[in-house]
Parts: sequence; structure tokens; C-alpha cells
Amino acid sequence: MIASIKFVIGMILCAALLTSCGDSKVINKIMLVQTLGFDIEDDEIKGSALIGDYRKKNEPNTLLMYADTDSEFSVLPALNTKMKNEIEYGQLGTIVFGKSYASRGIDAFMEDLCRETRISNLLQLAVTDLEAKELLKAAQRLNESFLINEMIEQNINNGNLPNINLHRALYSYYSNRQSLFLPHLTLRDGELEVDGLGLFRSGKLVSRLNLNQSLYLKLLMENGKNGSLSVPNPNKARSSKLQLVITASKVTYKVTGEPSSPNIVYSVSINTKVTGFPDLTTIQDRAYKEQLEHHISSYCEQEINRMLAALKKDKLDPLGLANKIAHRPSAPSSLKDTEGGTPIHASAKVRVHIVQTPVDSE
Amino acid sequence: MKRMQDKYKLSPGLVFFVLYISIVDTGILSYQKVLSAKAGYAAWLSALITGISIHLLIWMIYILLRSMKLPAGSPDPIRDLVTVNRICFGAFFGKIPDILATLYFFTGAFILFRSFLTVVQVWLFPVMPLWPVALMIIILLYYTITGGIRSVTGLSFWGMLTSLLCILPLLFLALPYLHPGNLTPLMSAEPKHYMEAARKMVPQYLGIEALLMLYPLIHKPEKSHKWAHFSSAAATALYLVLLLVTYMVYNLDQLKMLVWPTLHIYKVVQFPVFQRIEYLIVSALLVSVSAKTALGLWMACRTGKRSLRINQHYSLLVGLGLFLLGTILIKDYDTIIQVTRFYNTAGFWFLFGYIPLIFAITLLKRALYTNKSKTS
Repeated sequence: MIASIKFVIGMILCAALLTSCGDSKVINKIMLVQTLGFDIEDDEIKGSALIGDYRKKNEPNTLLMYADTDSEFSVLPALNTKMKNEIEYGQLGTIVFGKSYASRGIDAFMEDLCRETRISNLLQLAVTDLEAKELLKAAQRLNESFLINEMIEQNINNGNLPNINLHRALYSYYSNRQSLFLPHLTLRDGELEVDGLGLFRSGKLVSRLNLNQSLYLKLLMENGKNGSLSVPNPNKARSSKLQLVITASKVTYKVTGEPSSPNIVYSVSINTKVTGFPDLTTIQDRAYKEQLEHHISSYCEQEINRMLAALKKDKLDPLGLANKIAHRPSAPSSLKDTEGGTPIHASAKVRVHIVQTPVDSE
Repeated sequence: MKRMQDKYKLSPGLVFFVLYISIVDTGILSYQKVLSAKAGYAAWLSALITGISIHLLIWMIYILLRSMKLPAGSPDPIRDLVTVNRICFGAFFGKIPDILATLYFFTGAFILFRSFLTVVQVWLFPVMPLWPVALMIIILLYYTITGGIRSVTGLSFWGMLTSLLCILPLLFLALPYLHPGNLTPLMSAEPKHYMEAARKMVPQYLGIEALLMLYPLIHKPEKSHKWAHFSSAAATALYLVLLLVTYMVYNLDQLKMLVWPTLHIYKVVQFPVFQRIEYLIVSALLVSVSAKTALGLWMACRTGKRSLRINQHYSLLVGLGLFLLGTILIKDYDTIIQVTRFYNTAGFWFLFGYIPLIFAITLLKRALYTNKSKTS
């Protein structure tokens, strides 16, 4: 009997512990910061935050708040001084760096994010060529505090952006040989748009890739099932561009050359649908299809190699080429100590296969 | 001293759970960065070296407890650390290592208890005072330890289950984030660095000395020998696999920044109904932490009772009171780190200095008795 009582007491105590000892916070009594923006002007940090307001049932509202501080870490406390309810950032979905802030360097922020325990590593970081607050204003107009996060996720899942999130960004950032890249956003006619990737060297924004180049990077980084690309139409009499929708891609690489001057050769295999083709029946013709595949393969190969050469010239290494070499037993010792943008030569071979669009031939 | 009846003793197979829980504790959240600081990505080999050396120590413990021999005419001794100290150092001087062992077991239990509270505070409730959580766990510990070694073993079973359920899924959930290239070349460190990292791995195994107190409470203890080795091998496999996963998920500079890398890996996992799974993991770890803390306290109280005739119930109450007092008084993380460093050094010498020493003395004395009895 005494043993049973002891057992019940033990279980009740455990249950009490699991209910978090009464440290509860009601959702409509806190303000959830869901998107943060950082700009800099005359050494002053201009913070902006999109805050979800759930006080009215079934009527979520989005607040846009600003705070000017002397440090990025003071932004949330500064925002708190302006709010009736306490600010929480555990649901933070996106942090946007304005051009001014990103060009100056995001080092301090990244180190803090690395140690932060309250936010998820699936958070998205993004960069813009405008002021971050302009992007947040555009999202607020649509009353969607998670809009930027959802746009980026959607472009990763269905569009041309390679897989990126805070965890991957931190991995690149802390790898002294790999260049950090983040989704790049802008405003076109007042509307938010994902328009490529921003590239960083030593924590500073230095370059940009457009959406097509982002897709090339994606094709070299991962086996994918999405992305779209327009290529010139070899048949000049028809429409000027062919629109490709990638259904599957596979990438492998091998290292060639002498250990002192290694060369990475990528082999990319792409399955694609051709959409918007004016006369689909011509693709049914085997010879023409092969000719078209060869044309698209050559075009993609040329563009990818051009991008790789430009990255090498700019001493940018978003693919982590130097990492791939440095971990090989035959790696040149100079590479093991070299920081960021180590110029490794890379090239790609592309093979495109057009997935037939079913056409009624009768 | 009254001997325990066979029906209350532990089955040999249960040693697997008790020993596993005495090895795997909150150290599993952070051991990776300590090793990588010495041998980089190649530290996996150091973990393996330590794991193998622990098998040697387990073998020594079983041999010394099995083969201890008192002078002719003495009753069969209770084969535990206290008797070993008596045989090796005599009735008076043997009490000195007994007292040191009591303090060592108590300190180990307290450090684990306090470290877990730090994880709870940093990860779950940054603004909450610690004493209510501490009090809850203390009551749970009191309940478990007063139930005797069988209750502690029962909790160890659940502790092992929760620790496996917490860690094993991680190995699969982290798959999309692995960089296998990080591990190559496989053996890139200097031999000296491997040994330094292997030494840093030893604190993860502090707890195997529990065998020195558990042995007389095991039914047919010689049969538990293989279970002790299985348990140590399982813990080593877990440490090794998690180490490899961590090194594939992080690069070394990033690893340096993280206090609890294992918990940080969980930050990339998200389910539709459970966005922050690491909160669940910290809560679930309570079971395995409670089990090991209970075992440590039980050992401290048992050593006190066996050596100094202190009532086990009173020493338990005093110990738990000190736990609460320590929680309230030790507020900064640096103090915990300093005490932990001291305990780890003491633990290293306990395992790799003291155990081989008493092993050698016991075998020597046994050889002497055997020779004497032959000559007489």
C-alpha cells in the first residue's frame, strides 16, 4: 500500500514537472516577432520587425515596428519598450539584411545566431539590394508576417534556389574555405520578389547570382526535382526562348589533375520538360529531339562553366570546392591553411534528357 | 552486516541497464567538442581507444572482486570496494579511500544533477528559479533510492530506453545535413593528439566504478561479466556513431561555438505538430539523469553505511539536502565547470590509477595467501 502511494506521488510529481512548473505564456499576451530586418545608417542599426498579433480570434494582424539602436542585439529590447505585451522571438522565421548592413558585414550576428537556443535552425536568412525595412513594409501591406519566409521556402521547394537555411548558412560561414550565400530579394513594382542569391566573402556581401545562375548552383550542389530555365531557341523562326522545367537532376564529381593543381569536374544529368514549345509534334521526332537535347546541354554547360570561371575570378567558393580538395589525403598543404575563396578550377559536363510530352499523333 | 537475500538481488542481465546508464549521461550532449579540440575530425579513433580501455577496466574489476581472498578462517567477504580497501590498506587506513570514494560518488551525482539543471535553465526556462525544479527531482530521487537498488535499476531501464529513443532517431533525421567528406582523411592527427583526446573521453565513462559496489548485490555475479562488457560496448557504439554524425554535421570552427552540439543538431528537425523537438529531448533526458544521479547517491550512501556505519536513510537525507543547497548556492556556470574539471581529473585517476592499483595488490595478496597455504 505504502509502495503504491509512493508510486502515485512520484508520478504526480513527474507530471507536474512535465507541465513546465507553471511558467506558461498565453499566445494573445505575447507578441511574436516573425520577421526581422537590419539596416545600418551612420553607424546606427535600424531594426525593423514584423510581429504577428493574435489577440483577435480568426483575425491575425501584422504589426511593423522600428527601433534604432547602436547594436543589433539591442533591437529586440528596444522594440519591447514600445509594446504593451512582451516580445518573444522563438517563432522567428526570417532575418533580412539590408544592403548597407550586409556590405558592412554580418559577423557579429552570425556568431550570436550560432549559439542561440530559442530559434530554429530552419530559420531563413536573406539579403536585399534595398533597405530591409522596405521589404518588411511590402510584406505588411499583404498582412502576412511570414510572407518572406514562405516565399523563400517555396522557391527552394519549387524554384531555382538551392537548399538553404540557417544551419546550412552557419556551416558555410564557419567553413573558412566556403563562401556563404543567402537568398536575394528585391521589390519589383512594389511587390516582393526572390531574384537570386547574394554571395558573401568574410561575412560581407560582395556579389550576386541571378535566378538562372542560382539554378546552376543548385544543379551542382544537390540532386534536385525542380527549377526552371529559359534557353535560346535554336530554331530562330520560332519563339526566341525555350522554357525548361526540370523534373529531376543528378550530380556527381571527380577530382582530376595533379595534387598541386587539382581540378574538379562535375557531371550533371538533367531530365527536363520543354514547355511553351510552339509545335510539340516536332519533339516527337527522334533526330530533332536529340539535336535539341544537344543544344540545351551545350548551352547549360557553357553557362555553368562561365559562372564557375567568374566565381573563381572573384575568389568565391559557394560550392565548397576547396573543402572537397582539402579533405583528400593528397591535398596540397598550402590549401589546408588557406582561408576563403581558394581558387580551385572546376568545370561541368551537362547531359540533358527531354522528357517526352505525350501528344496525340492521330 | 546483514546479507541481502538472493530473491532481492539483481539478475545478471540487469547489469546491462545499470552500467549503460552509469556511462551515458548529460556528457553525451557536449563530449564531441572536447574531443575535436584535441584531435580534430580524427577524434573518433580516440573514442574507440577509450572504449577498448574501459573493457580492460571492467575485466580488472570482475577479476579483483572475484579473486579477493581473506586470511584462512575469515567468513566469505561482501565483495565490494569497502572490503577491497580493507584487504589492500588494512582496517584503519582502508577507511581513507572509503571516505574519498564516498565523496567522489556524491560529487559525481551532484555534478550530473546540477549540469542537467543548467541545461534546463538555458534551454527551457531561462528566467525560472531553479529550486522548484531541483526540489521536484530531489523528491523523485528520494522515492527511487529509498526503494533500494532494484528501484534504481528499474529507473535505469527506463533511462536507457529514453536515452536511446532520444539519440537514435537523430542519426537518421540529420541525414540531409551530413558532409561525409569532413571525416576524410580518416587518420589525420598525430599519435600524441589521439591520446590526449582519448584521455578527454574518459569522463564519459565515469560511472563504471559502480560495479565495485553493485557486485555483491548481483545474483551469481560472475554471470553478469558479459553483460557489463555488452553494456560498455553499446555505450561506446553510441558515442562513436553520434561523434561521427556530429563531425559530419558541423565543421570544427562551428563546433567550438556550441555548448551542447547534440541538442543543436535537433534544431534542424521539425515536425508539423512539434516544431522544437529539442525541448522534448531535454525533458526526456530527466529520466536517464535521475537514474544515474540516484545510482551515484545510492553508492555514496552505501559506501558510508558499509565503511562508517552511517544510517543509509539519514545520509540520503543529508545528501539530498546538500543537493538543494548546492543548487541554490552555485549560480554561475564557471563554478560548475571548475568542479567538473576537478571531478573529471579525480575520476581519471580513480579509473586508470586506483583500480589497476587495487587490482595488482589484490592479485599479489591472493598469490601470497596461496603460497602460504601451500607451504603450511
